[in-house]
Amino acid sequence: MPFVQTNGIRTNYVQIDCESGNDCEDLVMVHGLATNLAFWYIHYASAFSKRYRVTLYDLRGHGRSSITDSGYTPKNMAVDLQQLLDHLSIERAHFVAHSFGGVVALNLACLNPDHFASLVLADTHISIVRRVQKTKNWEFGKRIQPILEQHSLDVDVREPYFGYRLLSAVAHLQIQNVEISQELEDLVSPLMGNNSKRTANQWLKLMGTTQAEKELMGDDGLSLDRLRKLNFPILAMYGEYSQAMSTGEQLLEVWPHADFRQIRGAGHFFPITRSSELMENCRQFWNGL
Amino acid sequence: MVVFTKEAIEKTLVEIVEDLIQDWGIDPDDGITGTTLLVNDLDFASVDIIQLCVAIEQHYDRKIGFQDLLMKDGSYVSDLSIAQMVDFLVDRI
Repeated sequence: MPFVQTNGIRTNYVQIDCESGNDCEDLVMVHGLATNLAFWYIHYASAFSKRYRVTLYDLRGHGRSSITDSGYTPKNMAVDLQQLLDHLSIERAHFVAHSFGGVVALNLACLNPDHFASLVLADTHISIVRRVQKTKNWEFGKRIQPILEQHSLDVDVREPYFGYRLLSAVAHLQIQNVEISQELEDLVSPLMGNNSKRTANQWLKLMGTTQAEKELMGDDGLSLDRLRKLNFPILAMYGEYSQAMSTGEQLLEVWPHADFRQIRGAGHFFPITRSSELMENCRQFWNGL
Repeated sequence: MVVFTKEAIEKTLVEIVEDLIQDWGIDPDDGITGTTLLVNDLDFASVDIIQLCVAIEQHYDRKIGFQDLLMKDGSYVSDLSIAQMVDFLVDRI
């Protein structure tokens, strides 16, 4: 896979040519934290390349892209993406983004909305909603907390960035070869994937030796006023049991033109666990553009 | 028509894997053989497996449909041996 220098880092990316010829539109897919472009490659890249030229890349500090000491603010990671698009001469594209990848995509959209032919947002949680969420009850979190306690993990599901802390806790278990229950594995395996200690080590290095933790858990720059100005077609999908659902409810008020879907019975990782549903929803959305 | 023997495919695959891991400081005792496991023995992460698949497709200049090898019952397989990959490639190339 090729590398490109963008915004002072080496960015790893892959492009899958469109099967329908050279006049296809572009589709850019942005993964979330603690994973890499493989998150999209197997389930989606081949299927979506029947219609689009598909571009996947590794976020800064992830996969085979550079780990830097700083530069992990969503705004700066949107510049990483902007420069990748410039390098690839992609002026306008459809975007699909999961979780934190959606925060990056939305920052790029606020910076340059003309890049966006459309956006599919999958379970993206924004900081302005995270901060007020603590006062609310996250029902599914109550079911997760006992699982964490069984493993003596000091992680509170009521924390705004609970998911990031869970990833670090499980990564520690993984590199210590501690056997974890299926229930716990189900909560994180779509991210860590393939039992790889290198992925776990990479996440711990990122969170422990760089400014990433501080920058990722800070203000993501996405005010509701900024988001309200985005008027390109948007499909926002949220898992019924996900902590991010409260962001979905907020965005529902912000974007009256957008299409909202709830994935019933699903958690945060439905792009992996319920890939056929996400795929079908994307197709319906794109067909209606 | 070019014919790819099993031996030739294995030799190519091992060369691609060796190239991929050259900077990782990993040196398997018996070298890379059919029984070598990508994750357990070579510490492959998911992105490295994708990197390997892309490199193989580029080498043979064709789509190989690796999703059929990497997915089982809707989930990623936990590991793959060199021999499993060779058998799959023999079938697909």
